[in-house]
Amino acid sequence: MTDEDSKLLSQIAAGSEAAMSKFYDKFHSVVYSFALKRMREPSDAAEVLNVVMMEVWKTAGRFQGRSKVRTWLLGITNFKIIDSIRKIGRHEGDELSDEMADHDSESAIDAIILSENAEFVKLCVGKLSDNHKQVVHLAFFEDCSYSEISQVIDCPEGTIKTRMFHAKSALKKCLKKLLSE
Amino acid sequence: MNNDKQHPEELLPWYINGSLSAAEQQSVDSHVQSCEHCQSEIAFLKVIREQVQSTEALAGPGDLTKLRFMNDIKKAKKDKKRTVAANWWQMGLSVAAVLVISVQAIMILKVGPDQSSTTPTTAKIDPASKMQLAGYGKDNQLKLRFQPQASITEINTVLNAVNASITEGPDADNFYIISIKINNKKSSEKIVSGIISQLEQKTKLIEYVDKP
Ligand SMILES: [Zn+2]
Repeated sequence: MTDEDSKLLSQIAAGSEAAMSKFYDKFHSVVYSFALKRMREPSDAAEVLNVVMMEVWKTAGRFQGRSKVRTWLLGITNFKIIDSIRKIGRHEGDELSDEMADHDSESAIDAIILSENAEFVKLCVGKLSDNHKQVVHLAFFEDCSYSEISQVIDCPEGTIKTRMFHAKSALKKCLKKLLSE
Repeated sequence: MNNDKQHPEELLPWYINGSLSAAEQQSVDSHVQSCEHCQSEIAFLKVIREQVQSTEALAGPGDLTKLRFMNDIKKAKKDKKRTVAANWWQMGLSVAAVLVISVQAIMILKVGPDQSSTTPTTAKIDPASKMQLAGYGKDNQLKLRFQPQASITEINTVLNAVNASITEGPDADNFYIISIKINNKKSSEKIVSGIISQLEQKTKLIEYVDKP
């Protein structure tokens, strides 16, 4: 599996368009959904997808084999998304703050009530800050381990755990507010 | 309640996605069994995970995005060839090398994007062509941009319905030129403007129609 992926990369490094096409088919959704999660506009996400794939085309020879191909690819994607968000300069207006946990975010929310209010969950996940979206997507969509996420985002493992904890607090706060309205 | 240990809250997200090490997994397991607080945290995280997975699984970038990319790497290959040739010139030429290089230069000119007459098939989707042809706006041609998520099948269906086909594109801004086949030359202007408004209603597939 991973061997097959690194083989594809060495073929790409040698200039094989067929290998690039295969790689694109296999990994486009990994890149695209990570970008879409954070950029909202499908056209922006598609743009990032092609920028990332172009980077793969140019730098496939630099893949070291120390990490999984997917981890390496998500790292490139993360970098390009940040770059693109900065260029677009889009402000998300009412995004949830990164502030520390307080009493409101400590106590539990009934999961059954939540499942009945899926729209609220969606709304609050969408309002997370970009830092929080990164970890939530990687942990819950890609099912990455925290050490994998720390490689993708290039942060210490402790930071990843803390970020996830804060993301959870922010979600709870947002959901409680919506549920009490 | 389990009071002798701290809640392993920071590990719970990775407990539910199954990526903890065996030792971590085991220690969380034994804590969680007797801890109501962590159980409700897990239930909460599971709802979030379900939501994240359900909405995003639907995402797809559409066929055109890949088509554009494959064109881009073809172009990148050509550019690379040109750079290599330019470097050769700068290296200073020995008499013996002159002949080789001039042959190479001719070859590069031949594969350049302007030689559309010799390579009709690739010229069709060559992003290097600027698409500012005289035909634009005349000869029943229109310039338009598709939505990135549109599939080729969907695009063909729409174009077939108005008797049109893609003749060029995409360019750097992702525009295509389409030609519309019209038999009744007298009323072609009227027909084209009718088709424009028809295409403009297909907002799910067509992002923008450039009007003549
Ligand atoms: Zn506990």
